[in-house]
Amino acid sequence: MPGIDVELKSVTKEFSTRRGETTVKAVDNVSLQIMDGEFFALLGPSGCGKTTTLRMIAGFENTSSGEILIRGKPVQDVPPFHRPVNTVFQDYALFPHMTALQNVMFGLEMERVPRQEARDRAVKALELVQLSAAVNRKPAAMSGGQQQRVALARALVKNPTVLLLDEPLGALDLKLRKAMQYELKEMQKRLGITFIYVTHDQEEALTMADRIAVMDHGKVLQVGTPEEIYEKPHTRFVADFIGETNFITGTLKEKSGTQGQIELPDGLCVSAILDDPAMSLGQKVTMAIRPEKISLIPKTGTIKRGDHQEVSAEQALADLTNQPNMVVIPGVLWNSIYIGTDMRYIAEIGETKQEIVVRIQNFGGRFDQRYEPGQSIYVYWVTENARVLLD
Amino acid sequence: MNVSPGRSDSRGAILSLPSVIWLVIFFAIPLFIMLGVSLLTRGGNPSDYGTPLTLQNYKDIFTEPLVSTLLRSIRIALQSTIICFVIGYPLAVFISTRQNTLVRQFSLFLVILPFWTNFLVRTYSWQIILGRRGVINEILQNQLGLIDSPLQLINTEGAVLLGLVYGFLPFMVLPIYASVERFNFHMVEAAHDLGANDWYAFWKVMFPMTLPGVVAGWILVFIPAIGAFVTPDLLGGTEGFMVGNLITRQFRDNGGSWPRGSAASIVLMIMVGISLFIYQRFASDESYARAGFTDRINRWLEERHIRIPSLLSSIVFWVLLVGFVVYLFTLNWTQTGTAAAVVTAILVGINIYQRRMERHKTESRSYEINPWSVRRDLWLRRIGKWGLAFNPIFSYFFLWSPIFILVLYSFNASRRAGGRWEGFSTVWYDNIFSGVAGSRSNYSTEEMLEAVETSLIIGVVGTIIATILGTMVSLSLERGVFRGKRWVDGLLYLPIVIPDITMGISLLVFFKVVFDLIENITGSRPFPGIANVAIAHIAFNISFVAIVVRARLTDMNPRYEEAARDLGANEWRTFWRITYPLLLPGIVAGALLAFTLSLDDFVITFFVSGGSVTTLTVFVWGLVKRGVPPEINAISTLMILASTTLVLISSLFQRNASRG
Amino acid sequence: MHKFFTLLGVIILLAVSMTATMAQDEIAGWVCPAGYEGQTLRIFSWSTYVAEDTIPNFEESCGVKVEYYEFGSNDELMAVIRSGIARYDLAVPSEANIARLTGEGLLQPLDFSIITNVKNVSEKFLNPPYDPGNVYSVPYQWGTAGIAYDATIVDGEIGSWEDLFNYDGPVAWIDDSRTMLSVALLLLGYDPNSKNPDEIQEAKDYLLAHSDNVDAIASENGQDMLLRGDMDVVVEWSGDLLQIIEDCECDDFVYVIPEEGTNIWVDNMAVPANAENPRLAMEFINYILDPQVGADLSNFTSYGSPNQAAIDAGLIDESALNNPGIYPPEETLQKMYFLLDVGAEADQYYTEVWNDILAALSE
Repeated sequence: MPGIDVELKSVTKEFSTRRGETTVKAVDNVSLQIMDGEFFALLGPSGCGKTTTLRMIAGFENTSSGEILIRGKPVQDVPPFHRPVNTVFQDYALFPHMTALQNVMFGLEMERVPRQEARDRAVKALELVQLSAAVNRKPAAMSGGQQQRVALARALVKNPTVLLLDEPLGALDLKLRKAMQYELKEMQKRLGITFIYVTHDQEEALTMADRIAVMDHGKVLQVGTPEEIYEKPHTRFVADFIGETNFITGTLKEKSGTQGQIELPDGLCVSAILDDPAMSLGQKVTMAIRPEKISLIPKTGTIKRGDHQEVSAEQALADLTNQPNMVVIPGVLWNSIYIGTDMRYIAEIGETKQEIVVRIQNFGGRFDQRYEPGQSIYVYWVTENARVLLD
Repeated sequence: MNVSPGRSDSRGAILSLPSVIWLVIFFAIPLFIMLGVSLLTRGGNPSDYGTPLTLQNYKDIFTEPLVSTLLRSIRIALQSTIICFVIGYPLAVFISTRQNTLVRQFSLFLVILPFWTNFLVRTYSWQIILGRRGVINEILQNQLGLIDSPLQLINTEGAVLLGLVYGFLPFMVLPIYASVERFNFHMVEAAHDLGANDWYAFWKVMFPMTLPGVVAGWILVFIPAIGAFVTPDLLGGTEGFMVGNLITRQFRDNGGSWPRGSAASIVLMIMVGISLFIYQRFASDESYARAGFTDRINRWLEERHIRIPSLLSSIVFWVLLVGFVVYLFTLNWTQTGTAAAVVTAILVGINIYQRRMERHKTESRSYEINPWSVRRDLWLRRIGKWGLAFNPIFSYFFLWSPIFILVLYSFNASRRAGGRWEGFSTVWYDNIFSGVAGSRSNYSTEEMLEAVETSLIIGVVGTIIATILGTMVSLSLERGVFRGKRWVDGLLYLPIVIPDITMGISLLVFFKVVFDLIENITGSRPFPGIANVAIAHIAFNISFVAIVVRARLTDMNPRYEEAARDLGANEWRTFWRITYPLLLPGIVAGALLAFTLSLDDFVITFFVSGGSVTTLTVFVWGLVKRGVPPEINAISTLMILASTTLVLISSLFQRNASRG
Repeated sequence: MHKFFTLLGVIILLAVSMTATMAQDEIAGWVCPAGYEGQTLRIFSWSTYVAEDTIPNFEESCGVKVEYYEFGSNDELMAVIRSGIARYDLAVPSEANIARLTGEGLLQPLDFSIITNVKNVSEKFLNPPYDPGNVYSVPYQWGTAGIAYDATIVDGEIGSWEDLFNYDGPVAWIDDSRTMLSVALLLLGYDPNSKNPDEIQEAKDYLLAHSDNVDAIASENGQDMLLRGDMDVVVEWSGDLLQIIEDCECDDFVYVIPEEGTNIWVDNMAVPANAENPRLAMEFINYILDPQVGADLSNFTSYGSPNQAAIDAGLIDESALNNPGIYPPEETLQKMYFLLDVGAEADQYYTEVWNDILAALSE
């Protein structure tokens, strides 16, 4: 069981508005425990308080109330330059008047590491981020990716207990970002340093983090592994923010354990998993289903199956309705978008014409089944994939 | 730089031509003539000179007693620059870190406004404060009873220093403000994050990054300070004999010598040149790139595998720096030595302490926060915060108290124009407004109004011509492409960085040479007087107008003009329909600056006219220098009121213009 | 030397004549002849050197405009006139400088068909050695360089140069090379008009040795420094100080003519060779020499008037005539000396030495 590296206890940060009359809670009663060696992501939309949380850990902001402990020691009164944490800034904040090497050496100079040793360590850090070629370049003469690496090396060379990363990849283009995500993750595993990673990019958080805290309006909504967050979001916000989700509102009619029956506005009853078994009957609820967990079959014509067979649509429908835990609803497709990896269909289902997004992977070749706008279809999903959330 | 297509090379150059001609004739050539004169032998009269060529004039300057005057001037100029920096940097930081735009603009305005008040008036106001019966001595002696006899404040070198700092502080604050405003405070956080406390974060990161502004400020203060002659004359007494006064005497005194005065001006120019070279090295575009002076030394040593213990090198650095500053201010080797010893002791002490700390350091990842160093750094931070909080209070008090005192004492019933308050009275205003001549004949309301009229004529004519020429040359430099653009650029900036006194004297020499020539050819000698002054004012105002207009042009998107041409407007119509209206706020601002500078100028007017044109500043000079009338405070107050109104109107106008 | 004694004789005669009874007819008021309307008269003179209405009256009578430019020292006057940058119609140099300017051809002869009032000038001031026959100049005012102090601050009396040099407190000298150096020459027992460089050098050393109490070199504004209280003792021209005393009712200010003797001078009106309106300038000279105008002028400036007619007519204030600071008694006058033309070379030496003194004082 690894120890707790960083702990936030009921941390609140209030900013007073210009006239000082009212205060805004940028961070509201946040408690977190970040383990040693963990890759922890703070995820949320801009203005959710994630950066403020990070800045409080770094020491750039004071807490209004609550306590922050690093390795069990309270750090409220410790200025940032005495905290064993280092930050990779969103804009990198590389010192423009210093070369890459000087930037990396700066932190060691501050520790009064002898010059030669500092230089060796800095060179090594730059090698680690694969920047040996650019040691004597100034930030202005480097690409965004290179600057990013220097910023990383500069923080890592200090050998921090915790590395704070504030949207470090935000300014990079997509391809580079993907590559860096992978590299960062690798590096973190190798060095075993605790990373606290702030991002608004849910995909980034999902791919990199060991655990994610989703924040909104200064509050932590859910903490969990990427899978937990994605598969079992506790709130509509989390479900909506992480990935794409279809929301269907209804009323809870029946429940048994985590299973519930939801009555849709047009009277149709579908079963789904209850996020909170304590939900009461008759309550207005929202059902969330990920688009990739929904499938389509046409109302008429034939459908290709994996086993090279072509079956009629009626046959396919019958096969589906026969399966238990399967929800099948008729609808009309009105838009299809080709997005490369997937086909994205938008359909209106049921009598209320509830809009629903369906994603079907683009297998290519003969398995491909194409649907056209205006076509009548059925959408179907497995009941376990529909989760009932409180609004 | 964006280059608009369609404007041909030659046309771009043609727009520069009038300014270039003007500046070559009335600026560059006079400087060369002055250089020539400095190499000639003095004749029977100060203004006579002839062959043989000689370096005697330079020798004179570099022998006693003149050389001490020169060295003293450098010292005083350096001192005032350092003081301006120490006061000005925190003030600039204070202003630029105001979050509220209005507060920020107002804070900046409060620094600039005194600068728009007549320089002579501002300097004179210190006479009231520092005099032996001035405000300070009155308060200390008669109100508080702290001293028995008045302190000798006026007629000292300290008073000169004070006057120079007061006069040039805005020159330091403005460029630093511009630098700090561009500075990304994330850098400070990054430094903190990497373990730098406030001290290191400032010196290693913020200071080098704002160095271009600092260097610009140093130059803008150092150059006028070393050429100053009004401030030392009014506040320094015998101790106020600086190189400016030396030069003035060479031209305005029978014991003078134009060649020697020219040589002294050339020496001044050389010092300006050195300053500009330093600026070029340290504050050009690559800017802070070169700032790491110590880094370069380190690298040089490293390349030669010379290892100097860091303790030794930091002792050398700080002892040299502190020793230089202490010696500069005390001229006392004992005190300098003491300071050096203290610095060494502190550095050694810190080093020993740190070594002991390091011994306790463990290699494990668990960390130790040293409570002592946390406490030390928090104290450092607290001191810094107090300093930052105290500085603006002090600075604004410093900038504004002379003005308030001047206004207050304009209602003093005392005739003595000194520091003693003898009751409230509006008699001096009554005298001015009822047109009653002052007690002395060198002052009357009528004469003052005539001086105002002269100033206005020169100001308006000069401003119009300078604005037109300055706008043309700005357009040419910003929108045109032609060979020799860099030279035009350089020519344009020179009048700004050359001390007033050098410019005034070179023009004086120039006009004398030209008039002698005309007299020899035609037999009659021209005495344009007022035209001389206007010509000189235009020569320096072209540059100021150009700077302001160019700033506006740089911000202006050239696409507008391209769009207009795309829509079929020819260049003439493009200019009047698109460029001109967009540029107008810049042109107005430039014209107002030119007008103010023209009204404020004393030194150039004084020399160029040979004292024969009485502008308002020359008139005020007469007031403060010869036969001070009791109305002087009231007159100064009215001048402050007038310039403040002018500035307020102009800023309102600019605000409206930029909104519209 | 003989010039000096001639002048001394003039002064003694002058002093005697002041007590003489007047024997003049009535004084005809001055009227400006026509023909000058619209012209401008540019005067280059000392500050505080005309009465309040001297110039306005002239402007009104003649329908002209007068521009009055000031200089702060004889040295400045000489430098500006010689440089040929500015152009004036009338200048007011002191006696030695008249000789210098005449020698350099910078003055033009006066037209005495215009300056008819020259008859009012005391004969003692006419035909002076520095301008025989008054070809180029006529006297304007005369006075002395003396010491003034604030009696409320200064303990005891200051009556001599010695007292000034030994005074413990802030002192201002006057910015005039010849005046200050002549004092030192006098105290050293040399001729105040010495041309001997060694003697002048010695005078410089003497001044520097006694300069510890000097806080400022006043260019004709010592009276303001005294008034503001920045100086306890100043060296100034008599009239400047007496004006201030009268003006601010500062009865505590004392003007003394030092025991050892001092410089007595005569300022003269002269027309520069390059004058634009020389005839108007001469008309102005004639106007100044009018008894009433001259008397008003002197009553205001507190300098001595060379206008015998004015004195004879009783137009000069009685109090001024009785003021030994303005019209010193004979025994005082005997100790006074004129600063004579010492020639170009010595003149230059004086001014350069003075500049060295200023530079040395600043240390």
